[in-house]
Amino acid sequence: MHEMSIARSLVVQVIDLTRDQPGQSLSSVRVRVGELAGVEPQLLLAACEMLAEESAIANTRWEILSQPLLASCELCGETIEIRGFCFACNHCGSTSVRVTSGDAVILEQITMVAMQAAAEDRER
Amino acid sequence: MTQATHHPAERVIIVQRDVQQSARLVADVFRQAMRSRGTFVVNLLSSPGAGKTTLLQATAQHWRTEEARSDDRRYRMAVLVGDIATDRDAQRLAPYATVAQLTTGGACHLDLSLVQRGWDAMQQPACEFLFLENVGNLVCPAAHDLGEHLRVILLSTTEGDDKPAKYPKAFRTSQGMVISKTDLLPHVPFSCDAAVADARRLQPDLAVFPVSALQPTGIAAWCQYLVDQRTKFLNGHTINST
Repeated sequence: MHEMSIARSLVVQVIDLTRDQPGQSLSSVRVRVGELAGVEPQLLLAACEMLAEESAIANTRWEILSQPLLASCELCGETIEIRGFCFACNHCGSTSVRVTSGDAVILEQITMVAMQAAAEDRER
Repeated sequence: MTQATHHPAERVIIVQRDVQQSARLVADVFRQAMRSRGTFVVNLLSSPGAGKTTLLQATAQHWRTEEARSDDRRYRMAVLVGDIATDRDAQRLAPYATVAQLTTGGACHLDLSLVQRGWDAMQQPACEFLFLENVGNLVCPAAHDLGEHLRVILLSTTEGDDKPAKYPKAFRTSQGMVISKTDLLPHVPFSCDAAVADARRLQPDLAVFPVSALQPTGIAAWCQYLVDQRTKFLNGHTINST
């Protein structure tokens, strides 16, 4: 269950980012999990929620989205989507392809809300 | 960088960062440091019981025999052995190599901080090869860069030839594959051709070594591959991953 160690890095990095935003509180985090990241999105979500609960960023909404596996063909230059983990170009058939995205866990964006607005929201 | 969304008080901050990026940078530093010392680092992945320790024993024995034949063929090896519990594998390897056991205490994979601690604990011995015997697992270790120069996956004939298709990341990120326990081929329904075809769909450049560490067969070719990869690497060739 290495999702826990990935979640730990995520939570630490998000907390670091929120430190640069005084007067703001974190409302949500969006993460993209590549198809070849070797990470199970559901487990990552559970781990993030659990770790965040005990941290400075409790009550954050975690959006864990998947990211398709894209590659660039070294022979014909086409950008291709790798389906079924078959690493071959569907234009020219070459097996010399370089993965360009979908092999990592990407911290895509965080959403901050002014603390006053956050307090008003809670009162409503 | 920043834009307003539906809620007027909300600000979206685009980050777009690989979560493991800083770990990768640390791994690059380790990789470079090991290169400067002339130590080639090999990360060995497999499921439990595929024969990682036995392969390393056979590798060390082979080099020992070669060394007895010729002085200029001396390959010293060090091994960091990852296991959830016990130091049994380290004990098995101790007669052949400088070895330290990394007990992960439940964690399913090695990470670089454990590797660095183990490397320091064995007092950074002068060696041509450092093997990182990962925790037996085809899932989690695949996602962790240990600062290795070469990643090799072991697939034993008793596991079934469908493993490459089932564990794409582990095979995609490896440069070499050892098919172990080939002495059992007459007794198990394992097709080397099917396993290799599936693995090469994931990693077309995969180098494949059928090996029986017990007989032993295929060990010389495997050892030569390691030596060649090390030489190529030290001469400036890069080894592709992912």
